[in-house]
Amino acid sequence: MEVIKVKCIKHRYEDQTEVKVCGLTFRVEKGEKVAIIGPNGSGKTTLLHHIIGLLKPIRGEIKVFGLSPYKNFKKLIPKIGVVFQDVDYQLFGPTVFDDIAFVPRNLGWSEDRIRKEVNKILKDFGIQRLKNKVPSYLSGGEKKKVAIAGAIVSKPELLILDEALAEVDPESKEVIIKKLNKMNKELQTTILLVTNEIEVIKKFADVVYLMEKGRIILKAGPKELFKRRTKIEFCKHF
Amino acid sequence: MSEIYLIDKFSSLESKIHKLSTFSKIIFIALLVILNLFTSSLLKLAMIFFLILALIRAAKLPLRTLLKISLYPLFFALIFALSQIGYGILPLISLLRAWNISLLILFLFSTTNYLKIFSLIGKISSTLSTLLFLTYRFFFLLLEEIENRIKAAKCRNAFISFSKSIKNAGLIASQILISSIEKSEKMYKALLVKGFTGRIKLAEREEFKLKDLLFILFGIIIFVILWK
Amino acid sequence: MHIHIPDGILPVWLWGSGYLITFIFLAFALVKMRKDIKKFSLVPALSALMLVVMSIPLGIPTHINLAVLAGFILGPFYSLISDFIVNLILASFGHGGITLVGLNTLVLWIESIIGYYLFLILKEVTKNWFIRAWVSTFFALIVSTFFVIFIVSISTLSPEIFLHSKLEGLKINLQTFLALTLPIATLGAIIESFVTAFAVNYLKKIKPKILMIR
Repeated sequence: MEVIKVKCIKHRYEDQTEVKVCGLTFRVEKGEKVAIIGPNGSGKTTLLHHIIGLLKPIRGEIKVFGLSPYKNFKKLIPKIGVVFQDVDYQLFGPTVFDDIAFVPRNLGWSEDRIRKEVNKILKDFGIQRLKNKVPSYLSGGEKKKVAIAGAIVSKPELLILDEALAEVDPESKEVIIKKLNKMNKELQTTILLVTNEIEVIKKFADVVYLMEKGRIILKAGPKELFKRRTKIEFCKHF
Repeated sequence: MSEIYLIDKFSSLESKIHKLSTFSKIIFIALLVILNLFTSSLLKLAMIFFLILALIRAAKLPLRTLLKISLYPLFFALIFALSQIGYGILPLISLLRAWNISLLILFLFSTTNYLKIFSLIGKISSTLSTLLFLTYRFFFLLLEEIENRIKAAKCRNAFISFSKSIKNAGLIASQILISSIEKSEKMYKALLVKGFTGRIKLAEREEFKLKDLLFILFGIIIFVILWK
Repeated sequence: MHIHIPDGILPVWLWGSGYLITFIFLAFALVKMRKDIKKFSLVPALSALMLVVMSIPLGIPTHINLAVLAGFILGPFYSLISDFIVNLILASFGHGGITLVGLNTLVLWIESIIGYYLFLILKEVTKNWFIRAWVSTFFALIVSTFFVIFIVSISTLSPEIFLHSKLEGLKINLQTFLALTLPIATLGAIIESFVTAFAVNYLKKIKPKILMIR
C-alpha cells in the first residue's frame, strides 16, 4: 500500500520566493524505512513540510494516505509523528513526562493509558531519571530523546524525523534506532528519516533518496548507494 | 505579522528610488504628507494617490501587495468615514487622506533600509535608535520562534479541538513570554561583556548626490503646484 | 487601547500636542535609561513582544497590546519608551497613524501607569495576584478608552475659541463613534485583562524578579 507519493511539487512563499521538489517521483510504501540525504538547501525540509501538510503546493501531485496533506491536515496529523531539527520549539510540557504525554492528551487518551505508555517509553529509551525534569534545561541530546519519545508514544502510522539523530551520543543513537526498527517490525510503522550519517543509513534504511538543488536524483538501497558512492559527488565522503 | 517581514524584504530590492539617499526620501515623503494633511480637495488627493502608485511602480515594488497591506488602516478610516456621514464629501476626503499617508509611509520603508532610517533618528537620540534597532532584531527572532513553535504544536495535535487550541495557545504564549525575557537576559550579559556604552553604530554616512537634490526639488514642485 | 484614528482626521494642533508632550517625557526616560543596562535589554524584548501580540487578529477590530504588562515589568517610567517604540514601528510598517504616534504613546502610557499603580493599591484589598492583575488591567484599559473618546471629542472643538485661529475642528458624529467604539473596546479589555492576569501569574511562578510590581 502506497503511503506517500510526491511528484514535482512547487510552493510559493508570501515574499514570492519559490521552492520546488522535482526529479524522480518520491514513493513510500507502508512499512518502509526511508532515508533522505542531501546537502544543505537541497530541498529535504521542503519535501517533509509538504508531506506533513504545512506547505501547500501550487503545482504538482502529493498524496499521503491517499489524501492531499495540506487540505486534510487535521485528519492526517493524528496518524503522523514528527520530530524537527530544532527540538527547543517542540518541547511543550512542564516536565519530561508531561511533554511525552502531550500528544496522547491532545488525542483524548485516558490518564491510565497515558501513564502506562509514557512510563514504558521512558524505560525503552533509558530516560526514567528525566521523568520529572524540565525539558528546556536538558542537554541537546536528552532533548532529542524526549522529542523522539514524544513523537512515537502515540504509535503513529507514519513517523517523520528531520535530522533527529544529530547531537545524540552513539549509545543513545543505538537505542533509538533499535526502538525504531522494533516499531517498524511490530506495527508496520512507515518511517522517513532525514540524515547524512552513513552508519545510521546502514543500520536503519530500506531505501535511500538523494536530493540535490531541489531535485530527487537517486533512489537506491543502502548497499547500492555505498557501492556507487565514489561516482556521486555528495556521497564521496561516505 | 508578515507585513514587517515583507516590507523589510522589499527594502532590499534594487531600483533608482532605492538608491536615493534616506534624507531626500524622508523630505519628499514629508512634503507629500503635509500636502495630504492640509488639502481638502478630493481631486488633489486623488492626484496624489495616483502619483504614489506611479512611484511604487517606479521603485519596482509589488503594487498589489502594498495596496493589500494598506487596507488595514483603511478599514479604520472607514469606521471614521461612517461617523462622518452627513458632512458632504468629508468621508471620502478622510478615506483618501488616510490611505495616501499610509501608502507614503509604506513606500518610504519599502524603499529604504530600516537601519538607515534609525541611524538618522540616532542624530537626535542614539539611545532611541539603538533601542529601535534591537527591537527590530528581536521582532524577527521572536517571529521565527513563534512560527516554529506553532508549526511544532500543530504537528503534535495541539489544535485538534477548540478547547485544546485555547489551552495550548496559552501554553505557547507563556513560553514565548519567558523566552523573550530570557533572550533579553542573554543580551544584557553580552552587552556587559562587550563594554556596551549605550550606542550601536547602525549605518555608514550616505552621500548626498545631485539625484537626491533633484528628487527633493520634484517634491517641492508637486507641493507648490498642489498646495491650496 | 490603541487609537486607530487614521492620519488626516484629527486636527494638527491636537496630534502635534501629543507628539510634544510625548517627546518631553521620552527625553527624560531615555536619559535615565542610558545608565540602566538591565532595563535597556528588557525594552527591546518587551517591545518586540508587544509588536507581535498587536499583530494577532482577534476577529474584532481591536487588539491586545500588553501595555499594562509592560508597566508591570518595566515600571511606569520606562514603559513609555516601549510604548513609543511600538507605536512608531507599527505606524511605519503598514499600521497607519504616523501622525498619531505621540497620542497613541500617551494612550498606552496611561494604561501602563494606571495598571501599575492600581495593582499596588489593590494589595490592600486582596493578595490574589490574578485578581489584582485582571482588575488593574481592565480598569486601565477602560480609562484609556475614555481618554481616546475625550481626544476625539475635544478634536471636534474649533480651537478658534482659545487659539484665535482659523483652524477647523474634526467633524464627526460623536454618538456614532461612541456606539462603535465602546462595545468593541470593552470586549478587547476583557480579553486583554485575562491575558495579562495569566501572564503575571505565570511570571510570578517562573520569574518573579522580573516584575516591578513585587
